[in-house]
Formats: sequence, C-alpha cells, structure tokens
Amino acid sequence: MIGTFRQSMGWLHTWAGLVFCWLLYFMFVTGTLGYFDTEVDHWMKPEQPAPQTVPLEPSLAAALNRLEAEGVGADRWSIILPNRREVPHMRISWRGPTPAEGEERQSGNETLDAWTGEPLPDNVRDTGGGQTLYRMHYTLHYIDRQIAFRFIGVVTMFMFIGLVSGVVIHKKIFKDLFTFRPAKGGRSWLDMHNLLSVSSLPFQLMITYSGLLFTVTTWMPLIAVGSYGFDTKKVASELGTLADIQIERAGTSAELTDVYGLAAEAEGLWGEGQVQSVNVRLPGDANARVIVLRNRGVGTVGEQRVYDGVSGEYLQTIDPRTRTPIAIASALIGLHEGLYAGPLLRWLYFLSGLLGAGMVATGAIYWTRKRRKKLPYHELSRGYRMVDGLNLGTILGLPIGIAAYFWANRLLPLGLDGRAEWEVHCLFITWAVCLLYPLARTVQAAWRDLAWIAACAFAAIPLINAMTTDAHLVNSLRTGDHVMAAFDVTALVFGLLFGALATALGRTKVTTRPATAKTPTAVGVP
Amino acid sequence: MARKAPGRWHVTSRVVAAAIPGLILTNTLAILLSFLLPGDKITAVATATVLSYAIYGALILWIFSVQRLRTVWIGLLSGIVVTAAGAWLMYTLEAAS
Repeated sequence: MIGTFRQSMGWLHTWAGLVFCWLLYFMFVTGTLGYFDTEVDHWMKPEQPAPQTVPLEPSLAAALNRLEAEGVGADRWSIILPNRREVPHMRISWRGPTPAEGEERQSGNETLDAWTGEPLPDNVRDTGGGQTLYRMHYTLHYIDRQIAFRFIGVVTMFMFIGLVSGVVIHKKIFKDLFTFRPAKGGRSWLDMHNLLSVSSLPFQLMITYSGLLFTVTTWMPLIAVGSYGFDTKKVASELGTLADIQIERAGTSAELTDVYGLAAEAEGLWGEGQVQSVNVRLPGDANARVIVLRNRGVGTVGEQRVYDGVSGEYLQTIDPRTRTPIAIASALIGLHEGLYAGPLLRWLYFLSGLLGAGMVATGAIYWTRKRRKKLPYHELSRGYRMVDGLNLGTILGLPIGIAAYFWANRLLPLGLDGRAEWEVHCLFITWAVCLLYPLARTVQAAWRDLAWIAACAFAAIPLINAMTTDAHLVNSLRTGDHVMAAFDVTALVFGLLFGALATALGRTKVTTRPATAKTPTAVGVP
Repeated sequence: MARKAPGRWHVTSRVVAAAIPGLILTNTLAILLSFLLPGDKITAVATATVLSYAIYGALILWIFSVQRLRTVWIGLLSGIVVTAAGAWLMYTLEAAS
C-alpha cells in the first residue's frame, strides 16, 4: 500500500493494534483473571462451605434422590460431579419437555452437598464472583450478549492481524528477545513491546486464533451451510449427530436402571475420578438413556458412553474427536480455556496473559511516545494529550477498577439490592474516574499518582479482608485454606509491583523524553 | 526512512474491501475447500471452518500490501466469482452422483 511490503505491514500493524487497543487490554486483563475464576469465586464468597471432593457412589446417589423429587417428568437430568477444580460443589439440573404455548418450561438447577444431597444453604453474599469478572472479556457486561459477542469477534480479528503483521515486519526476532535499552524514551517502550511480544508469541497466537474459533459459528456459519447446498435442516441434523443422541419418547413408563452401576462401569474403564458428569434422558420412559461423560482432558468435547436407561445395556460411544479437525478445534478452544491445567501450568497461563496485556499496553504507550513533539507538554495538540491521558487512565485505571471490584465485595452492605451489579458498577465507575484524572494533573504526575493508588488499592485488599471477614490470612493459613491465602498474598504482591512501578516513575521523567530514533517498524505520521 | 502516510481514500477503500468482499471470498473459498478436501463431509466442513480465519487473515494482509486499489478490487471480485462457481459446480456434481 505504501512503499515496500514491509512498510505496508508496519502501517497495518500500527493501526490494527491501535484502533481497539484499550478494549484489547481490557480483554487480556479480565480474561487472564479468568484462569483463576474458581479461586476468585472462593475468595468472594467467604461464607461458602469448603469445596468437596466426594467419591462417585455417595454423590451420585444423593443427586439421583434429589432429581427424583424435583425433576419429575423432565426430559433431561444432568449431574455434574464434584471431582475437579472448577466444580467445588456438585451441581444438578433438570429440563422439562417443550411447553405448550404461553407456558413456562419446567426446569431448574441446584448446588448440592454431595454427601447428603441437601441443597447448600443460600447464605452466601450476592456477588458476581470470578465468573462475572472473566465473562466480561467477551460479554462486555453492559451490552446485549449477541451484539457484544459479534463485536468481540471483530476486535479479535484486529488482534490477529496485529500479531501476524507484527511477526512479518520483524527482521530479527531472536535479537529482539535480548534487546532492552532502558531510559531511552520511545526506544525503551519499543524494546519492551518487542520483548513481551516475542517471548510469549506462541501463547498470543494460540489465544487469539482460538478466541476467533469461539466466534466461528457466529461469523462463519455459511461455510457449513453452503457446503450442504444451503439446506439448514440438513446441516442441523448432520451436525446434531456429532455430540448428541436423538431419541423420542415411547410414552410407556419403565423403571430407571441402576445409574450408579453404569457410571461405575465407565469409571472402571477410564480410571478413578474420570467420570465428569452423568446425564439421564427421558427418565422413567421406556426409551430412557443414560449417558456417562468422560473428563475431557485438554479438549472441549470428549467421550460419552450411551446406555439403555431401562435394561442398562451398553449401546454406543460418541466421540466427536474421531474427526481430526474437530479434535484440533476442540484442543485449541480447550487450550484457550485452560481448564485442564494444574497449578503450575495455571500460573504460567496467568503470566502469559499478563504478558499479553503488557504487550498491548506498551504498544499503545510507544505509539504516543513516538508521536510526541519536542514542545512543553501543555503546548501539544489536544487530541494528542487526550490519547495520552486515556492511555494512562486505562492501563492503570483498569487494575484500580478491578481492585475496587474486590473492595466492593467486602465493603458493600450485605443486604444491598442488586449487590452483585453494584460490584461491577464500582469497577467501571472507578475506571471512569481514573480516565478523568489526567485532566486534573499533568500526565506525568498522573502516572505516578495512579501507580501509587494502584499499589495501595491492591495492598489494602488483605487488610480489608481481615477487617470484614474471618477468612483473613492468619486464619486461612491456620485452617489450610490455601486458595484464600494465595488470593491475599497475590493481591499484596501486585500492590508491591505497582509500588515499584510508582517508585520507578518517580525517578525517571516519563514524558519529557521524546523519541529520537527512527525505527524501521513504525510508520511516521506527521 | 521517511515515508508518506497513505491517503484517506486508500485506507477507507481497503477497510471496506476487507470487511465485505474479503469476508465473502473467505466464505466462498472455504465452501469450495469443503468440497475439495478428502475424507467425509463433516470432516471436510470442519477443516474448512477451522481454517477460515487463517484464510481471512491472509487475505487482509494481501489487501493492505498490494500497491494499487484496482488490483485489490478486481482480485477479490474475480476470486469470489471463480470460487463460488467452483463450489456450485462441485455441489451439482455431488447432487447428481
């Protein structure tokens, strides 16, 4: 488009990255917190009973008892067993048949004590928890879900183009990995940007492409439909057979078989704790089926054994992963979610996500540094100063907003109406205040101030926890609640990191050094 | 290495090209692929679908690297015609067999 291929790609990299940079930063930060969604949930619900890991037999018996009472006449029962990190407590759900006009479908779900089958007491504070925080990265919280999801697909495509064009314009990927020239104004930011990006490039490519795959059915539905000659019915029936069974009600009733026996058989084949969930279709009907699902490992789809729900006879195994591309897509999306990861890998995921957020942030800062003219700050153009201020208001303001989200969880009155919503409002109001803050100060001073505020906001989290609950550090270490303790310690570490940043910002003159070096990668805009 | 910024018209035209004919060509090309790939139908469709964003990304890089706007538009539109015709041909052959 302009000059050489490399120059065109440099232009594309700059603008693909810049247009949605604040939103991408938001997605990286909130999405990264999602790797600890269950742990954040635990911290935000200090009243919740301790997580349970219960063997197959008692938990399944308890769940079936409850479903026989609650899910009478349902089409589907589902039991999610409490044998892994993201299921601290057993969950059951039931879904009634499609209702007649104007009636509500009879369905429900409950969280149970897996030993007794009693619903867990609902004295937990009303909170969005870690789930709400991580879902924001693709629902944007305040926007209609469908619209937000489509929009996120577009933004992710920009990210993908930014990554690929960023790789293309590099002559010296290896050298960039070992180049960092501190205190050189714009140059340092570019080095930092390259360092963060190159060191975590495989993760960034994986997370972005798999992120796109989430939206593939939303944005690229015509591929499947077109391949079947635009016959949508045919597509639905073909794809429907992939991961599910189609059965009709017989209308005659029959005793449900021994579900535990079938689940135990599957567990015997797969190994202990490998049964992820058990579904019953048409319970009590002569055509009933029992489906036992295996723990999925890395992927998002897995093996399911289908049994006759009356005779208990084994019928078939469904596994969409027998088709290679589906296995690849499933593995990619599974890698994105990281549900399979143990503690060490989970921390690495968390770190990689933070590197991604840093990559976006340093890119945005470099863009403003590169365009800074050698003038006193107040003489720079208004547009420039606005972008500079918004950059800072997002890069430091969003973390402060997230700290406010945790503060709100502990400090809002427990009886407040719409408490969970108010937690989220606190996050965004705080962020908005941080966006406005640079207007009141010089940008350089605002950087330092907000870094100190972030440091205090995170360091105070364990203190506020100690003042408001019994789940403070001393107690959680004594009772062996490592998740609770780790959250407090992590908040403290982030406080220290922001404190270190603030100290560093106090020493260097952040905005007084215009970029001098001409760089081969970025395209000059006068 | 001074270089001039691209004109507004150049940028707008390419953004539109990437958003509309670029996306259409991605779809028609992927549909054609789903007929040409070996293996059973669902496997071929899944492969084409998983690859679709890579195809789209490559197309966008091409759109923004070509010097002349005319090349971009003629390339995209003729690509759509050729791939759509190819896909339709494969479909009718499949239906007839």
